Order: sequence, then structure tokens, then C-alpha cells
Amino acid sequence: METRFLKALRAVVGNTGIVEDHADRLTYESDALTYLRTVPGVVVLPSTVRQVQDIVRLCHAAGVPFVARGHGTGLSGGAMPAEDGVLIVLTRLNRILDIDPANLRITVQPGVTNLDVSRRVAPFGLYYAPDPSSQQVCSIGGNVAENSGGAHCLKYGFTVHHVLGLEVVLADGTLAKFGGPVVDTPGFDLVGALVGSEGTLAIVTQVVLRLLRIPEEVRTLLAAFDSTDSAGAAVSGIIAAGIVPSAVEMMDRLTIEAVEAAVQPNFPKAEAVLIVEIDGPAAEVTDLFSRVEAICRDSGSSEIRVAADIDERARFWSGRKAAFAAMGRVSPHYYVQDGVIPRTKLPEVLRRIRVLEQSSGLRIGNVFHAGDGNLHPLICYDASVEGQAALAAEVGSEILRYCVEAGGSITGEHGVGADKVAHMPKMFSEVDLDTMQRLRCAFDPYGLCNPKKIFPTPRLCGEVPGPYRVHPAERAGLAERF
Amino acid sequence: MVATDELATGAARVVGTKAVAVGTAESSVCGVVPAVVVSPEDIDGVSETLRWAHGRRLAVVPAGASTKLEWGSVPPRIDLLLSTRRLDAVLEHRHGDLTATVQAGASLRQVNNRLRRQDQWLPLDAAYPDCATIGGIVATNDAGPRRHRYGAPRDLILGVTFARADGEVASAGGIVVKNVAGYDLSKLLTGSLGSLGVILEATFKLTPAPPTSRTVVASDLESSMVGRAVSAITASQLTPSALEVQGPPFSLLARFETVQDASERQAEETVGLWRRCGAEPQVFTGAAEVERWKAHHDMLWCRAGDVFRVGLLPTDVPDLLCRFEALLGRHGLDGYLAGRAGTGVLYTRVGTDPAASKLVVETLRSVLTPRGGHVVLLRGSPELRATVSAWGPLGDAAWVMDAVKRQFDPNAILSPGRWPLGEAQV
Repeated sequence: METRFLKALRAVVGNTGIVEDHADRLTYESDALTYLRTVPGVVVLPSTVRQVQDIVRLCHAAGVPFVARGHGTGLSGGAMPAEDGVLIVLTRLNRILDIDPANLRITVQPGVTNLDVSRRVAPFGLYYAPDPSSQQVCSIGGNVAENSGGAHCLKYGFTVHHVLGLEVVLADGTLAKFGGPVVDTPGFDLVGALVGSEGTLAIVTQVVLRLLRIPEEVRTLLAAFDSTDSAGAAVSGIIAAGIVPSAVEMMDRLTIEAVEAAVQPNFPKAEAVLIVEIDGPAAEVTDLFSRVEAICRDSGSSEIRVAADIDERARFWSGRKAAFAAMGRVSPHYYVQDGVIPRTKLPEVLRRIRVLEQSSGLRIGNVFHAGDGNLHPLICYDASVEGQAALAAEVGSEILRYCVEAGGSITGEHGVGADKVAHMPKMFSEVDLDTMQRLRCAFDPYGLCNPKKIFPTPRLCGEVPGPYRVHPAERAGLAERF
Repeated sequence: MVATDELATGAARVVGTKAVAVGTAESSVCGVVPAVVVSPEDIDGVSETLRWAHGRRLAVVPAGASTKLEWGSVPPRIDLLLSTRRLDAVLEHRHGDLTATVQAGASLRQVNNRLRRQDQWLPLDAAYPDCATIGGIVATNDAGPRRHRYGAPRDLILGVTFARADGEVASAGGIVVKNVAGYDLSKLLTGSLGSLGVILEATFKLTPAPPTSRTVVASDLESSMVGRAVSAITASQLTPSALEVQGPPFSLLARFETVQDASERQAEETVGLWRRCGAEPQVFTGAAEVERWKAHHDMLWCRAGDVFRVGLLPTDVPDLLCRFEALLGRHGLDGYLAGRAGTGVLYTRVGTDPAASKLVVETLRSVLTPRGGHVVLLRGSPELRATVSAWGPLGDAAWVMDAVKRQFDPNAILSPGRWPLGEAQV
């Protein structure tokens, strides 16, 4: 990178806020999707919002692309650096700015860890609902970028349902606030548009989150089945009975073996297990939980264990949340896929995956949020065997095709990032993609903010018709530029 | 300006004479009579109409049942009122997946009647639920009391198909409950008042219809008691589907919709909590409960008067009630207020005297703006609109909104003047 540009960056963040050495920069070449790598031109670690603005202003002026990164736990290469670009690491913006328990709000900086939010508000009897499996390490800024989900999103929704306000640095370095602690801010729902935009529209520097009251009662069961089909039938039965559990998770035999080897949650030996959790007022939980037990039994569950206490519930969940990492116990390498299907198509799509497993010769573990149809096939391979990595990627693509054919999506929570750009046309027409990119053009006409992500073909924004003029809102004193 | 008969002939060439009518007082929006009302029978008709209007830079206002067309600012001129009423099919109810895809012109009532066959529903209780259309509800992001538990349309929408200003039909989101592929334009369109595109179809996440319901009502409360009674609920582990305030004199309503045992117990617990606050609550169920909620709706929406939507922090609600009551008393005004005490969205209705309404809106804005709140005009006479801004201050997000609008509607034909910055631009 140009010496003058680097010098200007150094002036902004100081010597301790910049990583220039090539070996050090290698640390940042990928997020948790490690097969996609690009060494960033330079890494900066701002510790104030003002520094973020100044960095972006420099990039804007010099036409240098920039990518924001949180804790790097993303699984789609969304935080993969731009070649010859600036990687803006937001881990130092990690302060909790305000806790307002009476209004069920908390204001945090993007580098705060997901689980830390719940920890900090637990003394008030509150928690933050979205709980991605990586919640111990992933950052709220990353959650906002990806619209992260988690096991308990079935009942409580995703990140977008829990973000009320954002402060962002726009692609030209301007600071703007969208939404806020008060709901229904006049104008377009830019918070709704920004959450899940994978860092391609702006850099989030402050987030107002909605908190929930910890429910009166939580009950969790683990049910074993002799096939994924009968476990799937139990899921359908629960939904058909008008019950929305807070979580319904399914794991198949290969995944159960892997987690037993890794964290010993003492799961029953079975072809499939379901974890079902019901929460809410005690009377409601008692009623619904007994019905869920009955449905599991009627669907042929061979064994049902009800978590006797908090520790046993934690053990059930440790098995589920460790599933991805545990695959390392049964396979030297694995590729985590993330696709969605309407939950009624579960048996059909799982059968297709099984056929694919046989024809490809690669073992596929299945762990998924069964309640909302979000599949996470874990494709096992050995990179030291010539061609297997490529084959695993091919198998992953094939599974996405099944998802789209079933009416689903190519990603439920990991994002498109750099990984699934080529799959977007499977789901969306050219007009759809062009229309989405109008949003991008409105935010980032020069395409500097996390380029080459989400969209297969960048749209040339061009000039919006009409000469630039002083905005009437500015003239009327309704808005001012920062 | 293009002559009406020329527009009518032109539109008829595009969508056929049966789909075109000349605008009348009945189809007017706050006194602005549309030149032509176009009601295409299918998506292609909407698309072709827009293509034609786009080239000619006509002012197009999308409309459903026209129950909320004057919310926000009013378009100064309407060449085409583009009605989606004939697109009224419930396209698919995937009950096993708890989702449904419906066309924009279907009424909420019609949709929920259909979903009830499988004991499911779209848990929105927007204003005018008998006639309000899905398209209009999405375009206004209008949610009623049950928002407390289920959220607003933006929280329930999963995907959208809409016609762009240039007539191209685009989709975003999908039909599954979980999906992060591409930008979620359904959220952007929700609440955009028809200024970014014409909503054609929407897919929603549904909920099982609750088997039983109980409503606890506490009446004749001092505004300070309202605050205590509301925090007693929000600080508890009760899960009401609605927590409403209305008055003055102020009443609180808490609704519990779940299995019988749980709705009964939660209602009992609420009675206990509210008694400790000094209230004498009553429990309603069955027909009396339904009647109570209908009255709650009608008191706000079915009486004459200027209506404002007030957004504020839930903890600021008691203070606002106090100020509102004092304001009415001091100036001898007739007024009413109702809304989501737990969410922080209230609606005020005052008489039709523009001076009085202006006083109310300006007083409330002066209190709320520094505290991050806002007051938006929903219903009001042209005289009132001439003297107060419908939206109030927009902050620094205005710049981005303007850029978004220019990208989606470069010729500025969609709902001109209706969206927040539109007011300043016309």
C-alpha cells in the first residue's frame, strides 16, 4: 500500500492501532471460513468511533476498499479482507454504554460479545435472545452484519427483531443514527435494511438492543428416535398441535457420535435425537411440555429424557452447541453447510442428502434447527486426499440446490459472504439482484465497503438523475450534515 | 399537468377500460382528488401501468382500502391512484410451516378467516381490521395492541414481491422463516408508505391461534398509578399479548392469550398486582371481552378528530399522560389517547380545530424530541397540515433516506410528498 496512505492511517490510530507486518497481517486473512483467504493490505484497530470515521474518510478519499471485522467467527467469508484494502477490526470498541432495565434496552459498542450482553443484564432478570452457537466469542457487530440466529430464534426471532437502533459510519465517513431506543422512528426502516447486510452498507459503531425478561419456567427434553424421519414427524406433530417451542434441534447419528467423543453430553445411542425446549409462564409450560412429550412418544421416540435441573439442561445444550467443532473428532476436515427448507420438506430433503452421501462417498453429519428448517449438513473430507476438498464443496452446492428446489434458502444464518456469491442467482432473478443493489448504491455508490460480497455482479451505480442540490430538509432545518 | 381524459384514455389502453375510473370525491386523499383510479386485475397490469406512468412521470399513489392514505404527509397531486384491491388472493397457506403468502389487496379479515381453518392466524390487529388490506398494513407498518407480544408487520414479514417504479417486478426474502440471503427489502418496504415500490405479495410468519383469552381492565387510574401498574407487569414474568392504556380518565388493559390454565392464572396474578397499586381491576372473557376490545379500537379510530402517533420510551408514558391531561384541561379541549404502554407507541385524538391540534402536537414535540421521541400526524385537515410538519425532525438518517428514495424511484413518481422528506420536497 502507498506509504503516504499508511502514514495517514498511523496518524489516526497510532502505532499500537495498526498492523503492517506481513506475518502479523496473516492472522487476519480469513474469518472462521478458513478456506477463503486474502491477506489485507493493512489492518487497523480503532479504539474510538471518531477513528473509525477518520479511517473511512481516508479510504473514501483514496478510493481504497475497506472491510469491517468483529471477532472473526463468521462462516461465509463475510469478513474476508479485500485485496490491497484496509481491514478495520472493531474489537477495541467493546464497551457497554448504557443499560436501561426499566425500558428493556441496552446500548453497546459492536465489539461486545453476544454472551456478555446476557451476562451483564442477568442481575436485572433480563437476557438477550439471539444465541448463535458461537455466542461466547462472537461480537454484536458481527451479529448485526449477519442477522445472526441461534437455537432459540424459533420463538423469539433473529437479530433483526432485537435491534432497535444503530449508529453507523457511512461509506464516506459520515456518522448517522438509524432508529433508536424509541420504536417507529419516522421514515424508512433503515435498521431493518442494515441488519443482515453483511457489512456492505456501513460500519456499525453502536447498537441499541431489546432485552427480554428471563422466563418464569424453562423445560427441556431430549428424545431419541430410530430414524430422522420419525424425529421429523415429531417436529411436524408439535407444530401441528399449535405449539411453538423456544427451540427444536435435531442431530443425527454421526453428529451424536462426534459430540460424545468431544464433550460427552451422554446422549442416547440413536439414529436421531431431538432437543425440545419450552419456556414461558409456568402453567403454560406445564401444559405444552406434557403435550410435547406425548407427541414424541406417539412419533416413536425410544427414549425421552427430561432435564432435571439447570446442569442437565446445560449438558444437553453443550452437546448441541459443540456439534460443529466436534466433527473434528471424526473427520480430519469438514465443511459446514447452511441451508433452509420449509420444515415440512425435512424428510424429503434428508433422504436426498442420504443418497448424496452414498453417491459421493463423503460422510455427512446433520445437525439443524429443525423447528425452523435450518439445515447444517457437516460434510466430512480429508484434504490430504487429492480432490476431496473440491468434492466436499461440490456436495455442499448440491445440498443448496435441494434447499432452493424445496422452496428454501441458500443461507439461514451464516450469510452469503464471499462463499455463496455464485449461488445467489439460484434464488433470485437478475431484476431481484439489481433491485437489492440499488440499496447498496444509495449507501455506498463507489463500492468500497466490503466489496465482492453477496452479489455475483456488482451494479454500476452511476449518477442518480438530477443535479446535486442543497437538500430541502437541510434548508428547512430538519436535518444537518455531520 | 396532464388532462384527466387523456390520462384515463392512456390508462385504459394499458389495462383496459374496466380497470380505469375517473377520480371522485370518494377516492380523494385529504381533499386531493386523483385524476384517475386504476385497478389492475393482475400483477402484469400493475407492472404495465407503472411502466407507462414512469415514462410520463405521473404521480402514482398505491392504495389498498384507502383507510390510511392520509397517514404522514399528503401528496399534493395524484395522477393515478393505483389500487391493488383486485389482487386479493390468499395464495398459499403452508400450515405445517406456519407461513402464508397473500396478495396485497386481501383484507386482514379475509386472510385471518382463511388461516383460522387451520387454527392459525396473522397476529396483527391493525386499525380498521375489517377492510384494511395486507398491502396497506405493510406499507404503513401498522400494528395494534397485540404488537406487545407479536411485534409489528416488519417483524412478521418474511418476503415481498413488489413492482418497482419502472414497472419491473422484484422479490426479496423468501417463504421460509429463516433466511439471510440478500438484502431484506421487505423490511425496507414495510412502513415506506408506497414511496419505494408497489407491494404485490407478502409472505408472513404465522402463529397458532391462542385457545383462550382473558383481559384484565383497571379503570379510573391517576396517571401516576398507570406508571406503577405498567411496571408491575413489565417487571414480572407475565406474558401479556397486549398492554394498553386509554383515557383520560385512564384505564389499563392487559390481555392474556394462551392455554386456559395459563391465561386464568396470569389474569389472576395481574389482578393481584394491580390491586396492590390501588386499582380495582375486573376480568373480562368471552363476548364481553371481544366487545371491550372493539370499543378500544373504535374509540380511537372511528370518531372524528385529528390523530397523531406518539413514539416514546415506555418509562416516559406516565409523564406524557399527565401532560396530555393537563393540556386538555388548561385549554378546555376534548381529547383522547390510547396505545401500547409497554412498547411506547401511543395515539392521540383531539378535535378538528387546527389551532388546538397544532398546540397539542407542538407541546408534545417540545417534550419528546429532546428525549428521542416523535409525534407523527396520521389524520388531520389540510388547514392543520399547512401549519405543522407531519413528521417533525428526522435527524441525520434523512440523507440516507433521500439517497434510497432516489435509487428506487429516480423519477419521483411514487407517492410524491407522502414520505418524510417528500413533505419538504414538494
